Amino acid sequence: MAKNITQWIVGIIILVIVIIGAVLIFTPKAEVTKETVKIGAVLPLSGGAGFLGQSAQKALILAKEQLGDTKYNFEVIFEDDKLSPKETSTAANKLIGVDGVDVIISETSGSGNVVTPLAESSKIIHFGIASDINVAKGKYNFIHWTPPEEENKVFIKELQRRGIKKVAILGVNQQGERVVVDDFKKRIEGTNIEITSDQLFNFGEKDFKTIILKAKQTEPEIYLLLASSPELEIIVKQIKEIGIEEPLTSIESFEFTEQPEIFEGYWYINAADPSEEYVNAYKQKYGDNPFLGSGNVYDIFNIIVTAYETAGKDKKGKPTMEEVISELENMKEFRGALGQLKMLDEGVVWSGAVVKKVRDGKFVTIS
Amino acid sequence: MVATQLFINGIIAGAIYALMASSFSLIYNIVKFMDLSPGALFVVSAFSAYVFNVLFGLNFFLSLILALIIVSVVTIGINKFVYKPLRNKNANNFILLLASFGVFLFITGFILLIFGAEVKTFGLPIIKGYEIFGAIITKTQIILIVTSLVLFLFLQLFMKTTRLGKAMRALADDRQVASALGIKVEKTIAVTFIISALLAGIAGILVALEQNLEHAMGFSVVLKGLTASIVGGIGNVPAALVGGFLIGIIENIGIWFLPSGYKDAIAFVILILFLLFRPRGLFGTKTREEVSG
Repeated sequence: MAKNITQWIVGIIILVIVIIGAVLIFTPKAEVTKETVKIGAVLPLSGGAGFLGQSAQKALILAKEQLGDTKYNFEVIFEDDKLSPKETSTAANKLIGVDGVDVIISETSGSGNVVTPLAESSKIIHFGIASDINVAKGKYNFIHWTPPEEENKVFIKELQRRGIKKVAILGVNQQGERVVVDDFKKRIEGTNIEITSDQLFNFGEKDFKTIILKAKQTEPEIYLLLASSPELEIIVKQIKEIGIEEPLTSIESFEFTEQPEIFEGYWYINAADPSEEYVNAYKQKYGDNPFLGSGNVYDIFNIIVTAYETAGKDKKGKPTMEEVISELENMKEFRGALGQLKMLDEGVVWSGAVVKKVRDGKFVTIS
Repeated sequence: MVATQLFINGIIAGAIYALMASSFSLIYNIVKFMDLSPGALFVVSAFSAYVFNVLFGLNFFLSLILALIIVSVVTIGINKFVYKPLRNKNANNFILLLASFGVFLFITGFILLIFGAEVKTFGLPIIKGYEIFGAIITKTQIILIVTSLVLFLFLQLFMKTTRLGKAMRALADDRQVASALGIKVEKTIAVTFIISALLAGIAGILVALEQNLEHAMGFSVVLKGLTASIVGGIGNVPAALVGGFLIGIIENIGIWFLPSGYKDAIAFVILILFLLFRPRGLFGTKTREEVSG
């Protein structure tokens, strides 16, 4: 009886050893889990400028899909700020406090100015698509946008080429737009160009008749519009209804609408165009053209990936924020969707400006 | 030319404010509380007309009628399910005001949920307006001004000549006496809400034609409409009309001299001045308490 029990015990032990051995032999080695870099994107995904944010969102998804084998996982978390600074603050705080992102991307100067101090105090990287240089203030903040100086240089050159001397400005009261206007005012000093009227209006304004009249009274040769949807479409409607026949122009604004046909035939200045390669990849995936800023977001994602991968090359875990920032600062050039980009010392990723025209309802680069 | 254009610009803005102010004042006059729901009905009406006309392709006037039927049904619902139960519980004016604010936020939030925050348009062609005394005015703007004045005259006529109008005036004077005289109080209140909603609804559609639509389009007209009704004399419909046009004209003349960013501030400075120095408004009369006290 005792012998039987012993045989049973030995048998069970052998069986257990065989099972454990088999499990150890046939189970594939567990993969080393990749660490995740979380990127938060605060974009205007709805509202009048929703199409811009949605295009930026598509660019980030495309960039992530095109990513090859990387040491880290790059996760993107989207938040909608409806282009409202109040919403930007809520969204950015949620991304930092709840999601624990390593990097934040924001779109427009208004949103960027909200995120900049939050990123600086939380010690996380922030990339803004913004004209306002203040968005790049501090150690942790960067901008990827054509600087206003560059756009104004091209704008003034184009005005002079066309012999236009009197400009009336109708612009929304927003940091990004004011930075452009202030720089324009500085740059026309000593030239034969003058601003006949500089009319500011608030977000949400819908009745522009009187400010259009004020501008019209100064007899400008061209109207410079600095606004976005929905104000932009309404102001153009009211300009045309009042019978103004002088041309309209803008610095970027014409691409802040989904109704380009209202600007048919007008020329304007825009931030750098994305490369054909990027536009084709975007079109192939989504079937439509990318909107303004989409290429910048795509580049930002790849710049961040490059910085993290380079900084963490010889490290076990994730590189520290300081190491990533050091990589960003040392990156002097970058080949991206917007061509060969220069990385300036002030945390600005520089790209050039172009002159464009609305032709057959499409934005066409003319020089 | 500039003066005429400024005046016309003021009249156009004033026509919108006047319609909204009349809507607020009518309810205040009869139901005795400041109801903000016309601001939401303004949005509901604009979006309903958009759905019928642009999305379903119905004739514009049919869309307008259907939109006005919808706002009437919505306002009956608001009165029945929100205000009437509160009135039955003797809720004071502040509670009713808060409830109406809740209704306003709920409805605009609902519109946002359904239609999103994107701007919608009726897609009317943009054409140069007519020249009148050197000033330019479009067809939509003429319709806006004429509608505002016609509705005002119609409302005055209705209040003075019809049985229902007289019942509304009696209710405005003294609810208990009106009730004792056999006037059906709740029915009269419901009619008041419907007329107020129709005024706001028509304003909403006209503004949508003039300036496009979005879910938040009611906020600004609520503020300006309330300001106009207080400036004119709260609870007095003809005074609200005058208040609306006055605010519109002063705002537009004001931003001729000041930066246009101060436009809203101009309206509120006028409001503060009236509250400080003439709280009854331009045409408001003293209350019984004020006269006896």
